[in-house]
Amino acid sequence: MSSTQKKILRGTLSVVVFLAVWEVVARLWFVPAILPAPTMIARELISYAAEGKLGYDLLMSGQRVLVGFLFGSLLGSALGLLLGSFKASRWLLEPPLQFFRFIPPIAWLTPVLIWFGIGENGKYVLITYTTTFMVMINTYAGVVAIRQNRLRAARCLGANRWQAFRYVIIPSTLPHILDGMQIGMANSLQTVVVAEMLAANEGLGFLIVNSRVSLATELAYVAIFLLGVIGLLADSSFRAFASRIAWKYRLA
Amino acid sequence: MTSKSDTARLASPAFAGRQPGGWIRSARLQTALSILLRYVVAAAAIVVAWHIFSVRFDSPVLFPGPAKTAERALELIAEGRLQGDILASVQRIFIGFAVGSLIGALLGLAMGSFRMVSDLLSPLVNFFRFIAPTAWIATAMVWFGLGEGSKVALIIYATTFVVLLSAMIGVSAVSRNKVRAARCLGANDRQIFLWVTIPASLGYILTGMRMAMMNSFMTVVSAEMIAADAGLGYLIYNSRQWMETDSIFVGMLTLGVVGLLTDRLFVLLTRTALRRFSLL
Repeated sequence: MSSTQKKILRGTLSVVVFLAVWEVVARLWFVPAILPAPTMIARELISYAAEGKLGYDLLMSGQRVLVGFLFGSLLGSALGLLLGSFKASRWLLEPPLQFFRFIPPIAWLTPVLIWFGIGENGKYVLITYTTTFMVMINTYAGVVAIRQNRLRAARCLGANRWQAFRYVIIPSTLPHILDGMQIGMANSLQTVVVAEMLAANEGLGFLIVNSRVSLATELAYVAIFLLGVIGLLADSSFRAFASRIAWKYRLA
Repeated sequence: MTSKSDTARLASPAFAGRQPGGWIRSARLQTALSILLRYVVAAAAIVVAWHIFSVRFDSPVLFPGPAKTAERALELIAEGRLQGDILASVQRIFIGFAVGSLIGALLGLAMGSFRMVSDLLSPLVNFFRFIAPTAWIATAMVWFGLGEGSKVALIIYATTFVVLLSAMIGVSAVSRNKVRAARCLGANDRQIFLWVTIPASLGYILTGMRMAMMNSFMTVVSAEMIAADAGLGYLIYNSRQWMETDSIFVGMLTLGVVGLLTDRLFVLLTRTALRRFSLL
């Protein structure tokens, strides 16, 4: 048996055993309100999806993350490139960046609720901030990490400041921007869940909290499962996308 | 990031000519001072900008200025609330982070070293690590109660996967020649694992732990916002009920300070530990 076959066999085996043990333990010792069995969760997933409600929650969470993520990525990479390219801004802005890095984006939820209310705009602002910040510090670190000799070489060959920026700084920073976007996506998913738990009437985070109130615990697990699927899909599709556009810049 | 670029600049020949020979003798002290200066200047600039903005905004309830926030911070300290909240959050993070790092490092080392373990665990790990730790908040409260248990469990979850992944990468990055050399000198599998693999992947594990620390902060704040009676997340979210935006600002600034200090402390400890294995 080849090692790939072995790997698939063992992987399948472990997933099956995990689900089987969970099923048995849940059915024998726990009430569904505490630990529902996988089959109950699957049934709930199907019936909720059949009712057509699931699509709406998915759409709302997805929309919030996507809007914030796109805005944030653009804003973050622009700011990071800008801040990294000038000595004065580096000198002045590095300390506050280091500081704000440690304030989790979700902490901004409270001021955002006070300033923007509980509507959609507040959520967009929050997710945009989450992504912007991650992309910005990664882009910034990327600009700072550019080998000076590469820039010097371009200057020696007659590139002006703009050309050095366009043809050296941006391509060398691109992998860092993409790394930042990947982390930003993961953080955005974390943030949106909490924001929806605390202040929303739809979305996967709301589903998790509300299922306790409506005594349908299975639904919370459906939402958690879907969050995992979304996270996995977002990450792998982003990886595919990144390797497509960035492979030629991965110089290191 | 900061210290590296500064050290590089100080070491450059252009700077050597300007080295003052007087009261600042050691280059390290000077680096520290220049970083301190940057932080002071940047902090002053922010406070001034914040003050001007708050005056223009002219609504102490919606956007309190630095003076009002500082006043509120002193009040909270006098009441003993701020210290209590800091202690509550830090304690949760510390316990969860320590346990999570241990589990993550052990599992990661095992998965990196043994084909069998990696084949069995990776499908599960690769699904669960994509579930945001915050998604488990409600469930954790059902299983572990509203008190410390659920928060610590969430932080363990948030830490484990990050550390696990970097430990795995660490093992795969151990140079083959190191392992071969040890084997030539007569080391068996157990000795290679203990004396080659673990020390060589320690750097990766510590880097993973540093990243996980930020995730722990995020998770603990979220959990405290949703259900707690103490902690910085609780301070930030609960103050909204009374529209105490100044308390919210105090909570957020404290988070920044505590996070920054924890990170610096961790880097310091890391450097000491890594020097032992001459990885620096």
